[in-house]
Amino acid sequence: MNFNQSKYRITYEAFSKFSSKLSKAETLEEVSKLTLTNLKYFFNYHSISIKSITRNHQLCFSFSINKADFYYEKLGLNIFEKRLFERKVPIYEELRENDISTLTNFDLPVLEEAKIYASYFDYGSTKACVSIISDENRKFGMDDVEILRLLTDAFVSKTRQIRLKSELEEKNEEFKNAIQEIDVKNKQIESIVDTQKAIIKIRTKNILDKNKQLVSILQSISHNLQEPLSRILGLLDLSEGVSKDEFIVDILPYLKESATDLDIIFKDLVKKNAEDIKLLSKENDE
Amino acid sequence: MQKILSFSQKKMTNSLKKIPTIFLVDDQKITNFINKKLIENSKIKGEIFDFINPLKALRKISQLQPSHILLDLNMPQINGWEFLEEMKKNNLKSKVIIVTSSDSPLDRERAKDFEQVVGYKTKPLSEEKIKKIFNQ
Amino acid sequence: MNNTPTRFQVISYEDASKEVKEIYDDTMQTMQIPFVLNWFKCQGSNPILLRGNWAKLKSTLLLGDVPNVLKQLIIFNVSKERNCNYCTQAHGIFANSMTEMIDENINFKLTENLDSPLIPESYKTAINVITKAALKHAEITDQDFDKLKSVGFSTSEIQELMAQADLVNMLNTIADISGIKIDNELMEAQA
Repeated sequence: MNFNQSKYRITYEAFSKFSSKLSKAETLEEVSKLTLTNLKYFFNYHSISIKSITRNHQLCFSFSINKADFYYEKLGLNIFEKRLFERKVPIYEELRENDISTLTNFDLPVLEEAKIYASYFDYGSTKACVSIISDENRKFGMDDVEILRLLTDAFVSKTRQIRLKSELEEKNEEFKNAIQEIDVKNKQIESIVDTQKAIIKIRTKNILDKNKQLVSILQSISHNLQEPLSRILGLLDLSEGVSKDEFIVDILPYLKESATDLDIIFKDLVKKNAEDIKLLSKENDE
Repeated sequence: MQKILSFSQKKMTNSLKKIPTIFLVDDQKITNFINKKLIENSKIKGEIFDFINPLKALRKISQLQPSHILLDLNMPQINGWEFLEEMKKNNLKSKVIIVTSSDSPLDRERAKDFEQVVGYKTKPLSEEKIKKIFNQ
Repeated sequence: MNNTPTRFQVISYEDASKEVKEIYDDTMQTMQIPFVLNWFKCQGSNPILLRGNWAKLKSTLLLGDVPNVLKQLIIFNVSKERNCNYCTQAHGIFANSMTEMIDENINFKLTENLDSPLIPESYKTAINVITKAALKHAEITDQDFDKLKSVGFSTSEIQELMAQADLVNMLNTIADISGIKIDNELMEAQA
């Protein structure tokens, strides 16, 4: 325990500087570069990989002494990581030559008594797997586990934050585009509605005009017909109280005259108004 | 000359006997005929003068002092409204009953502008309508 | 104040000119120590030299990307090899104090355990190569640079590390020829 604390004291300054720079990093590239620079101040290693898994989403970082790489990949775990996920117990054991290439993308120098240290970290919805290859010349020891834990905590929380932020920005962008699209559609609809309104207004006015014309035609028809008709009705009313002779002499000629007037007016109106109505219906069709 | 005299005599006798004078003003002689008959049949006492030319009627008002004028609106020489305007201008006070084949609310409204108009009737008139007019 | 006679005039804070006081203030603020080191006070009579040397020390040892503890260890190691008492003691205290910030009771002195497996290979390699560069600069070869690269140092980090070699030579030279003794305040702080 004292040993671990002493180790932490040596790396304390480098780690605190690393943490403060990490908190300002905004991209995965920056995180990757910053981590590569500082790993050598924390412990000895030949290569290290950090995989963080959120749902079906896996982000892998891979570091050698002077190279760094990161990529997203579909769930693919190496044998050590599978063991870690099953048992969640750290692995610290000899590494066979053949296994090395499955653990790192980088060319490593010839290793002397290669060892793997691998550990599982649970951060709620995100799980992380860290595996380190070391050897006799660059020995990763149990003293280094504490600083590795601190590094992984800071690293995973930062990369998760960056990923969430970019997802949020993506969603925001989609949202903005959707709103813009709705806006455009709304404007199109508005302009269609406006055009419709204008058309309806014009048509309504036309219909009202036609109606007025029709009403005035009807009024003129009724008025012109009413006059002789009222005479006829008046005469018929009078005829009730008179003798046959009186009717024939006084009233019948007037009746005849009024009926003839009615006939003339009627014929005239039919002719004239038929023309008017024809004209109107023609306008309506246009 | 004699005619004028006879008119003035008539007038005198009328005013003495209090028999009212009634004007029928309509460009249709048949209408005037009908209305005259209706008045006679209704036993309304009165001396009836009918005119198919409203201008002629106007000229006779001051002389014959009719108590009632049955006035058509739609006439070729001057229409009923112009007739009423002329009466107003010359301060002629006879009671006017508009008798028209139009039942237009506009016309009914306009009729109210003339205080001498006491009735508005649509054609054809009947004995009943006549009685209402003269029993007012 | 140190009573031992020195070859250079030692100017106390109280006696310093306004210009020199400003530099003294900067040393205390930057190094976060509450007194002025003798190494600066022995240059207090020459503001121009003091300003230049302080600027060199500050930008080489105190600022930069390489951990300060590693640079202090390099200065310590070179000074020890060369038997510069003042610098060995002063920078030994700085290096150890930086690693003692967590728990003072732990009986582990970094400067006495430079071979410890607790110290990462990168530190050890840097201390070895830069000590060689300071003491035998003519013998530095491309291989020495490759060694630094092989433990992960970048070109700019290597340049910063190498600068400690020429800095420590200046530090040692001034400390030795001026005849200054270790600061009482430093010794007290350590006790």
